Amino acid sequence: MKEALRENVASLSPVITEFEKPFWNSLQNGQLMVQKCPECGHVQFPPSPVCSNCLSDTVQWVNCSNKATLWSWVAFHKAYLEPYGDVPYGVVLAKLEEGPIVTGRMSAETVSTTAFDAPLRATYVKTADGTVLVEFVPEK
Amino acid sequence: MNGKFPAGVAVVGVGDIEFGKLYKEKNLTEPRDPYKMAAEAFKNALDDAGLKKQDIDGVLCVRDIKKYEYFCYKVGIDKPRLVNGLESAGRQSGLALQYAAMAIASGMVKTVAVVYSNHSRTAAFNYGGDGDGGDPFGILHGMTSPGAQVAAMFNRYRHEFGASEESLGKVAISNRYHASLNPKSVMTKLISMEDYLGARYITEPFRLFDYCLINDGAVCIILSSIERAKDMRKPVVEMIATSACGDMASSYMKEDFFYKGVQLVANDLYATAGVKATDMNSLQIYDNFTATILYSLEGLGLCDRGGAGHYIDTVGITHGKSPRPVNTSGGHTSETYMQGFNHQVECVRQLRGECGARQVPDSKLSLYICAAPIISGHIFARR
Repeated sequence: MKEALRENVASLSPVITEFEKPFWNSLQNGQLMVQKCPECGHVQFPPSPVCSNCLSDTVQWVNCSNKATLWSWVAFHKAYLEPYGDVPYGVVLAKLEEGPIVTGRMSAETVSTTAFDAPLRATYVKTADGTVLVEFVPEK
Repeated sequence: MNGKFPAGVAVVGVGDIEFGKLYKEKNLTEPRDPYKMAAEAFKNALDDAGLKKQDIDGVLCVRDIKKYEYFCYKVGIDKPRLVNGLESAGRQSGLALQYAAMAIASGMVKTVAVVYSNHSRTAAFNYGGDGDGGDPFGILHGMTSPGAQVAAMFNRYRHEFGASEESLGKVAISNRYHASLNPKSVMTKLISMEDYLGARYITEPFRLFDYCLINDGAVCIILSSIERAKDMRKPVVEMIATSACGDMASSYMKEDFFYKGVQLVANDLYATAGVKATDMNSLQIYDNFTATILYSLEGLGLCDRGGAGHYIDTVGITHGKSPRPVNTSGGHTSETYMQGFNHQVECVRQLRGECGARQVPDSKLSLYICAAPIISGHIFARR
């Protein structure tokens, strides 16, 4: 299924807290953000209200480079989630250039034919209900 | 108590129920009552120990009986000096025994019943769908809970170490063979590599037989001091080492396949007990998924990193072939999914010599390990 046709994805959205709002707003505008600590330089994702390295509360949101490599993948042959009834579908675990691993979209066919550690690029796709997802594509 | 904790703590009673028989009962109109199953396991454990309920002064309730006051009321224990409930995750099973041991060794209590009950099959609990991997971003992108996380880990593991899917098949086949020797097992029909590879994928690379069962049941394990144990009904089984280590990350998926955490726990166990991994007569390894056994064998130091497949081929994991068979009762994929409680019961039964066709001859030491976001392990010894 093309991600743009995927329906009712917002039903899987978490409750968004005040401090995570910039992250979700940015994603909706087509840019994945990670957190960077201005004091020690540590980069983290998923977000935390403090730097998990030095506990500074001045941690900042920064755009990721959109560059990643394929860390691993899984292909779902059983449908657990209503918006993801199109089995088999793939999920990719992509290691961002900045370090953290993020979970993103990739078709079952693409994940199983892309080499481990191959370069990927984050793209952003608006689904049927307007929810934006991260779709990783192999870098040419 | 003398010696280094938990020396002096003993398992004095174990009780469970007929998992296989329950599984075959069809057409129930309502979920099974978890308190009813728990009461049966509790009674069986008391009988096993030769104790009365008045001898129990500590109660730890796990999973579907976590309303500990309900349970204590229902079995008539009104003034327990230690009582609490633990959440549903399987990582709690080793910890529950550890907390009981700590309470006994400290002198707070004399005899603790750890009671576990699970009615998730007849209550139609959905294990896979709530995305409880800990990463809110994941579920939005179609990722779900531990099965998919461990499958993704195995995919990476396969890339890094060249492991084969057949190595998982060998685990599933061995578990099933052991279950066929255990009259209480849910699944007893032997499977071949053809059956394994021919089964449907659930979360590729995991197939049907890589997954734990979902079945109803209950287990009770009673612990006390070794001095008291000597006056009880069954041979004395001492807990000679116990250890735990959180493996805290952003999701269930660990980039090192739980290696470092399992290694820390294992090294504690060997140092406390003064034994080596190869001294064990059996290993009871938490297997929510077959791949967890591979990761655990490596963390336990029985083989090099990435060498679990080779270990399975050369040293072996199966009763009658291996010097230290793994999951002699059939494990979570074939005996029963009692989230580590069945494994700990099997440690005790092996050491008492109660295991019939699956008995490992002259069992003196048995190890339990659970690789999960809280890793825990024990070594038990026959006394």
